[in-house]
Amino acid sequence: MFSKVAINNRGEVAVRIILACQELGIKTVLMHSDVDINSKAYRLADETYCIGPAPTNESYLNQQAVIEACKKTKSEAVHPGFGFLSENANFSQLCEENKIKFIGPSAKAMRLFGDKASAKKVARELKVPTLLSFEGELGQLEAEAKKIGFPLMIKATAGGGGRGLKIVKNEKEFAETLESAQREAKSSFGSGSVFLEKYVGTAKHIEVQIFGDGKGSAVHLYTRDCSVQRRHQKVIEEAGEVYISNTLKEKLYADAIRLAEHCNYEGAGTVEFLVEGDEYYFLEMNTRLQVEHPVTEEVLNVDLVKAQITTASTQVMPWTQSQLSVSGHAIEARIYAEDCYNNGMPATGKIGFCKWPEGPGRRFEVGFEEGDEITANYDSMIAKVIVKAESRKQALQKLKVVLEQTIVFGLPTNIPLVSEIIKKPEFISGDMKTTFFAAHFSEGLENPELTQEQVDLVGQLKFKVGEISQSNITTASPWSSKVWGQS
Amino acid sequence: MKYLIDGKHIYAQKINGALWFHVDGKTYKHVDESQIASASSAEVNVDFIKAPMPGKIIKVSVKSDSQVKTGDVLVIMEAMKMEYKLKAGRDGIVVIHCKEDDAVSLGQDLVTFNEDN
Repeated sequence: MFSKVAINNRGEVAVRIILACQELGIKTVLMHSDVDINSKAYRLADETYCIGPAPTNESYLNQQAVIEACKKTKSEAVHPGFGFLSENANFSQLCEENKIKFIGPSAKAMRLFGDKASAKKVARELKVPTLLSFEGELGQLEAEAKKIGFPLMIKATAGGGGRGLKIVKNEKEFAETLESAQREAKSSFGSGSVFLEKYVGTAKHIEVQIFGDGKGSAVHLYTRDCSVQRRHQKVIEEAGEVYISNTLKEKLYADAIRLAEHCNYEGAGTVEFLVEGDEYYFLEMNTRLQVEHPVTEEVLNVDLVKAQITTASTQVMPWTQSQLSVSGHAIEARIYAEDCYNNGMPATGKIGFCKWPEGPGRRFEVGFEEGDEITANYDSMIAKVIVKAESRKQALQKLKVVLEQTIVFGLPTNIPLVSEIIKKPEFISGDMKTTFFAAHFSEGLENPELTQEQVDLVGQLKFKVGEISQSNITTASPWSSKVWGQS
Repeated sequence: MKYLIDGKHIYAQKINGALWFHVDGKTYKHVDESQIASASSAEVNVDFIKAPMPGKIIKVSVKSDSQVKTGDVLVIMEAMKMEYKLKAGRDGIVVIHCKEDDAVSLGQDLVTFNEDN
């Protein structure tokens, strides 16, 4: 087992990895940018090492700096978390060349599935259903687009994770969208290479968690439903009672395992599919730990991060397929610092008082505490709320209560938005598709007014908290209290 | 942090002159009217739109010298995997200071309104 592991990440996942290491008796070194000093991960890590200034390409994406830091701190392995360098084959290779164990799959597996067009080719070779697509010559794209039919998607081959996607509604828009897709792909991912894919607008996003031993064997850890997405970014994820047929599930498991075993996959990975009725299509394979891994952990009673670390050290899988069985249902809501009454505009600033309502079946992955600052350098996710219960119905009720009891002061959060999402009949029935969010929430939320009772409460609070003198309370209230964003 | 009001414990905190409190399962932020004038956001300061965070311009919906109305989407930008629509805070004639695919930094001027109107 490793005696020291470096963590090249931040926020709640850095905390997650540190805690797993601590439980395994492994010393932790947090690689961080200069602004991430005021964070829970920084405070928890045994050692910390500043790898660069705030901009990600100068710190978390700075491969040389990370390698240097691992050497200086004598870290035997590095856990890349998700995002950043977690799916960077060159970095994985660089680690190997420097005798540092990269906790994750091989560079070969990452290259195979990192290129989204190559991933589809592999899927087809392995007889996994894929969406009709064309990954060939630029010059042929326009002709092939007509064959595929509109609407269709133009996808960046170096993209993934919901980025580098453009929808083309009709033939007229094709040329312009293609040009802009290539430009964006080049600047976002370093490569302007794109491919075409049939667009399936209304489907369920179902993914299979897999885990491999790096020697050709893999197991599946069942499915997750991540259909609630805002512009391809997941907001709510679930595991347990996933509402697709058992026949379909067995096919997804088998296909996912086949893909993983094909490239001697090591560690945790996820195969994403679109499910439309009885049909399913391979979307992509993510060769890393995913944000939503906790819901799988909750219904299977496993620790995926500890598994990643131990398998990286021993090349042995911690479980056999027969040891893995689903019990109950878990739901995760991502909590972002954003103004949901103003188009989801991300909020920056200091976090105030927080209260995460602990209790049975309630799990909080928190990256920041009171006094920490959220800056505009990184995404504004501050925490994840995960609930587990015996059934989906009970889990929904638990989530509703947890969201009502969660308090975050100082920055607005998307909690009101999540609360509204889980009230929708389509969500309660479990029927929601990828069109769900846009159908109900494209215009954002209405800023609620306070009731008179609440206005009176404000008056009393202000007196107690020390803002105004006693006499002002008796005058007619001139305050129009609104929720953040209006002030 | 916890205050007893009419027999109920209410969590509240004063931060930068604003009163944050949690009641009936929701969190609120209250700012006195007198302080509203000094606040700033992408929409309240209506005569310009500055980039609310570092990111990339995905689409510029209007050309310079176009007439726009309050609420019109002028620029769409991308940051941290999310897309944000930046809207006009007033009517007027716009001057666009960015183009598609530009990388922009926090606070950078994206749109201003023509001084003449």
